Amino acid sequence: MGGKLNALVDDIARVLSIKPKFVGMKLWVLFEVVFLALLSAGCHLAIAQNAGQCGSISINNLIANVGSSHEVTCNFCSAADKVRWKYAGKLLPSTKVNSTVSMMSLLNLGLTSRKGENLTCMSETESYATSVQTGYPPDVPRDLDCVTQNLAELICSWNPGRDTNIETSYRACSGKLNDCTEVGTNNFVKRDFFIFEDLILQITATNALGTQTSEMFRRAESDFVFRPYTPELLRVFKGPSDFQLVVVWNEDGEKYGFPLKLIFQIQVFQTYKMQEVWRGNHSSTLDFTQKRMLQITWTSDMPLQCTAHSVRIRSISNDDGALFNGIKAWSDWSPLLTLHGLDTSNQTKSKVYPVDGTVLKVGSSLSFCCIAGEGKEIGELTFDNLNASTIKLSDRSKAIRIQNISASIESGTNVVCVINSEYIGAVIYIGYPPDIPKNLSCEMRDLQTLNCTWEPGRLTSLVSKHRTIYRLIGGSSQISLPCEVASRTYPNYWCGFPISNGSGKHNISIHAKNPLGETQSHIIVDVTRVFHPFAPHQLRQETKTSNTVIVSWLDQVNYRSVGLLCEMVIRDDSGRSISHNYSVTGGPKDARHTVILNNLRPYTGYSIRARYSSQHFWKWSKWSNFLNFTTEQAAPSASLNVWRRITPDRIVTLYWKPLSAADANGPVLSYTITWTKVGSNSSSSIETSMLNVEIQLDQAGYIITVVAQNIAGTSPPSVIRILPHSGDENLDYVKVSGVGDGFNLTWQRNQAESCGYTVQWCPFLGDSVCIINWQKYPSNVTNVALKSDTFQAGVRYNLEVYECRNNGDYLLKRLVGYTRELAPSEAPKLDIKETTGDWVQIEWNDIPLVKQRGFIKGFKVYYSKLNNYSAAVKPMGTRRQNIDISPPKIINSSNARTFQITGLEPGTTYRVELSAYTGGGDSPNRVVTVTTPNSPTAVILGITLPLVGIITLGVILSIFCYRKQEWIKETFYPDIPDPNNSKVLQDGNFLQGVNSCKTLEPKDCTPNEVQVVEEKQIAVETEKEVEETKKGEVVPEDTSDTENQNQGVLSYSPCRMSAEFSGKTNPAFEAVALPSVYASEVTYTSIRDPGYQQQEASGDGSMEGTTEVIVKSGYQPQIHRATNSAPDKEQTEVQQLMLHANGYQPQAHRQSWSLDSGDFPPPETESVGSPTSINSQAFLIPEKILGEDHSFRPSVKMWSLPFFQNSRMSSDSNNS
Amino acid sequence: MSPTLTNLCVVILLRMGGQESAPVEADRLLEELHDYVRTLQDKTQGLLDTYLLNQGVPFNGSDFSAEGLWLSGLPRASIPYRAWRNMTDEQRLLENHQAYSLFQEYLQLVLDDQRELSPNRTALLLLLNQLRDDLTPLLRRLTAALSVLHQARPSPVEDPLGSLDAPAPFQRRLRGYLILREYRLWLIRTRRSLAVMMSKAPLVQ
Repeated sequence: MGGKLNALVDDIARVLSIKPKFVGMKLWVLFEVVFLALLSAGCHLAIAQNAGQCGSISINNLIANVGSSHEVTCNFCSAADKVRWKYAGKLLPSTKVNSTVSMMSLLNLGLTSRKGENLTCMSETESYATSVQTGYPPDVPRDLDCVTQNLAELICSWNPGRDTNIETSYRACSGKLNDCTEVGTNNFVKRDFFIFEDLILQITATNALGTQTSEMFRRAESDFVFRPYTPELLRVFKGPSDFQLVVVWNEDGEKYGFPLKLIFQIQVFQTYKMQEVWRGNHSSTLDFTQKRMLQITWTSDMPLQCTAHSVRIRSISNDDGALFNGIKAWSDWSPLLTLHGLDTSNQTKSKVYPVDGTVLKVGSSLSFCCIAGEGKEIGELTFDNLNASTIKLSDRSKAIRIQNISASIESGTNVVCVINSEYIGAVIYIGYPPDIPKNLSCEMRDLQTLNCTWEPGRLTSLVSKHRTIYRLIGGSSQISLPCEVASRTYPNYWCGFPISNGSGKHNISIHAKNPLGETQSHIIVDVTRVFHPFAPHQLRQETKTSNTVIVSWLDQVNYRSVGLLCEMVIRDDSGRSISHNYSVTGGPKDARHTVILNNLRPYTGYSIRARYSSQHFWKWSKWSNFLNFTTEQAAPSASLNVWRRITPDRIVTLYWKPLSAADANGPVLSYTITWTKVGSNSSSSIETSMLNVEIQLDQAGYIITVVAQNIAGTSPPSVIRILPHSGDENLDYVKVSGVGDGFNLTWQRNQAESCGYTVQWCPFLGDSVCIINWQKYPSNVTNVALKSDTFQAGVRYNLEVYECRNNGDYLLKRLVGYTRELAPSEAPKLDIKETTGDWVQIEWNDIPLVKQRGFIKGFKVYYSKLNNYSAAVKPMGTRRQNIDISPPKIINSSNARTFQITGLEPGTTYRVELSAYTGGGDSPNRVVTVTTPNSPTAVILGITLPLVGIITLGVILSIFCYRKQEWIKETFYPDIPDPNNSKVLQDGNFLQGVNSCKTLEPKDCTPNEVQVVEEKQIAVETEKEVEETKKGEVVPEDTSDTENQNQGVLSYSPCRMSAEFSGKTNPAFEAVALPSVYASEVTYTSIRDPGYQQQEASGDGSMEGTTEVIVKSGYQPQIHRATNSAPDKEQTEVQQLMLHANGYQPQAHRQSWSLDSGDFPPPETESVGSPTSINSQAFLIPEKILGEDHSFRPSVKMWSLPFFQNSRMSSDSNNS
Repeated sequence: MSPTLTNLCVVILLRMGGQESAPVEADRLLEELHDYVRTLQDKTQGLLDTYLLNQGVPFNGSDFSAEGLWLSGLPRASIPYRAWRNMTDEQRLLENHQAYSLFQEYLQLVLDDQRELSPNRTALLLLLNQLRDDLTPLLRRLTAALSVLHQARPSPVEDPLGSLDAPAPFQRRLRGYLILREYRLWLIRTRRSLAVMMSKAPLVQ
């Protein structure tokens, strides 16, 4: 009743006011107060009226607020002693008012069920019941949302708020009068979808506990939500391939009634895991005029048999904002439809998918699966030899996913599955779809077939039954012809297409197909433009002459009435070629065409071939066969080039040059020479096959004719005139210089009527035969650059220039020269003509002309003094060894044959060399050695001076012995020998030699060794040398400065040594090793002292290659020089060391061993800290001693001086 | 050259021109129409408030509304969505032409009422006068677009005001409000309809 009143009030408010909201609020308050007061009063009145009746309960179906309290009275009709109250199945305490009335209080009522709870009062005889229902008054409706599914009707719903637990009804009113709709307990209302008008709704909620009215909702189009109907999914099934899933649904266009644009979204799951595997959209403009089904095909990356797939679909509006500017929402998803896989079937056979023989595209990513039969379990699944993990699809299905799969080999790729130790598998072929045929071109060869070629492009990797099949489609009816052979002729595929006639245009397509796809390309072919004729056939020679030939050939196929262009290439045997083009009208098959080739050369080999093209050039045919032939011979076409040589005794030798092949026109069989005396008619002739002939003529003039003859005839005659004998032609040879490869010749023109010039030349090769060669020049030429392939450098040529006159050839010039001069190949023979003490005269012979190889310009004489050498042992032919190099004496005369060398020294051996020279260089040298005789004065002085010296020495010794006879006696012949005073006995070796030396005789037994050590400033002077060396001055090898008076240690050994032996060892060291009993023959060996220089072989001091061993017997004067009276400490140390050291000690001041001296080469033996014997190479100073005094220890190079000295001496020994 | 004559020339040229130029011309006309309607919308943005402010209480109240009232005979912009969606281009142009032809009369009525009721409100009167005058170019453009679609020139509407009684001033003020309110909604509808037509290019085939 309250709800109705509220609605009434609302209506009144709307009618009364054009501002319902504003006015309604005031009136609502008024009416609500009044009517609620009346209502409340009425209810209580009713309750009161009901309360007193017999057999009743005071409340009838109570609807009350949760938490309210109520008193309930039960009036029994008869006395009730025992009254029980039961509420919601539970007994409640009650109060007995009187015998028939019982009262009970319901306090703080809880929330009942929606149906309410029963309240029952019971006596022994009576029972009365009512229901109690609790709830809440309604909340204010809020959040009005309007949704349309078809854009015709809006469903506007609101949020009712808290659940009232009791029935609550709603009324929706628009802003218009009497426009209210009772919607019952629904919380939505349907309204027509009007556009360009806001929807105004006010919702009133009413229940037994109260009424609430919402605000006035205003909703525009932009607030509306368009959620299309849920699409109806019709079917899901497997497509043509195992990978294709087809989804079909109902478009439902008729539900909308206008061409709505919708997007359908399809979602695919793997059912076992409900895992989404694909989601795709499909746009469609609905056809509202009819019922239509839509479908989409999804290609899975896994065969659909592998496991079950479930699909659902939904849609959304795709209209633009101009048509609907509200909110677009997805419809609800449709129910799932499932396509079951084989993993849920009851089959027992296991399978692998994709199935055996499946062809896949390279680069695909897909899954291979293995499905176990019922009751079986999958063990292992492998693809080829790839390591990829398996994916469990379901209890009986496993998959293996391969990304970017690569091309398989021709035999395919294996997929293997192991199920209960049983192998099952499949072979998969992976390749490419056919590429677009490239470079498609067609040509016609026989007027009946178009031959089309193309390149297949990328290979498919598929063979056999999966290979690419080509078909050629063409013609007006687009006939399709298979090209089975095409796939076997890679890379240039071809296929023939028959055409009815050899003209017209054809649209040709080539269609390629394999299991993975198909492609095609096409061209339009104008047949006449692609005519590619076959080559001319059976090219052959018909007839020939010396300069023509008739050639014929056949057409291989029927080219009747077809314009052809024939190119014929003619190549002669010299390699020259020319081509001729002939227009030919084709004939039937084997029709023969003929052409005549003119202007050929006689007796010339030719090679001919031909080829065809169409008049509209497209391609040349292949070449025909070669036709090789030789033209017939003809008479020689040129006269011979004839020359002559006339000897003084009138023997005329005629020479001629062979005709060239171009002039000979055939092999020359013979030459006919005819000579006629001038003034006479008689003639003689001879015939020869040679290129020259000799004829004997008399003193008269002659006319000689020479002709060449071949099988076809004779050449034009060549005439040469022989002058009458006129005595010797006294022209001298003039030297002419060559220009490298020939001669530049000039001559004076003597006769105006000259008929030309001839240059004749002849090389001089040493023998008597002169090979004549000649070159003819016209009469206007007076200077020529004569060149010939026969010219050789270094060969003398005699040249003659002749002028041709009416009666013969006159000699103009005689020349001799070399094209290029070379050095003489041989030296002149040299000899000593006369020798004196200070000069030598030499003489030589001519070099043979052939070996001169140029004009001899002069001679060069070298002479030099041989160093300490005997000419007898000096090898001949060697140069500049141990000789002084002196500038040569140059004799600028080719005629000189003697030369006197002056200023020589007597008694000296000289080396004399001689060479000749030309413009090409010097000849080899001829060497002789000559020794000038000594002068008589020098001989006398050489004998006298030593004799005087010996006598003087003997006198001095005699005087000395006489004066010191007592001391000598005491020393050598004492009366009582004192062993302690005997030097002989002090030597430990005395006993060893006692057997052979019982008597001390100076001649037979000498002291073992006497060392005379002179202290000198060696070090100081050596440093000087070093400094001088550093200054760049040349230090003569192995020689000292002449002013250096301090040289190394002089030692002498009493050992006698033969010259031969001393040449091999260092005598100074050798003496140490010799026993003391050796003969006392005091020998001095010098370590390079300037004082001995004069005793050595005179020379420049260079010791290379020169024996420098000095063997001197007898006394050698010791050189005593000023010594440093205060030797430094180091010298003292050296002396001390030498006292300690047994055996050899280095006999030089240690400062001279300084490494700083670069004069000394490093030792070959690195005797660290100890010198070595030159012979034994053993360390001579014990290491221990050296180690005691490090200050004395020399570095490695400290021994360089003694080593160098010894080494040099050893080398000298070897040389000697 | 007067605008009417210009329009006539355009129509003649369109009719004389080949079929290829008609879609281009139609699109251009639609664009012009669309732009013009947008200009009118901008002008009427404050029109309703200005009118109510000059009408006294309760019209000038901030909460004044009369959602449930409409004026009989006045073309209504509100239309069921499907009906509007299914309209052809010709229908859209024609209904607009008819509506604005009527509004020409109603706006004149409002102007007359306000001249009588608020003679001193010159700004308002000028605005209403301008509003009425703006409809003439709009109708001219609609007529041109209809011509492109080979539609006959719409027949003139009957005077809708002939049957109206002379109401009391309050009702006249209320009537003016309802007319201006509906006019504003029509401009929205017209612009939206033109947008739909423009999205379906070309207009004619």
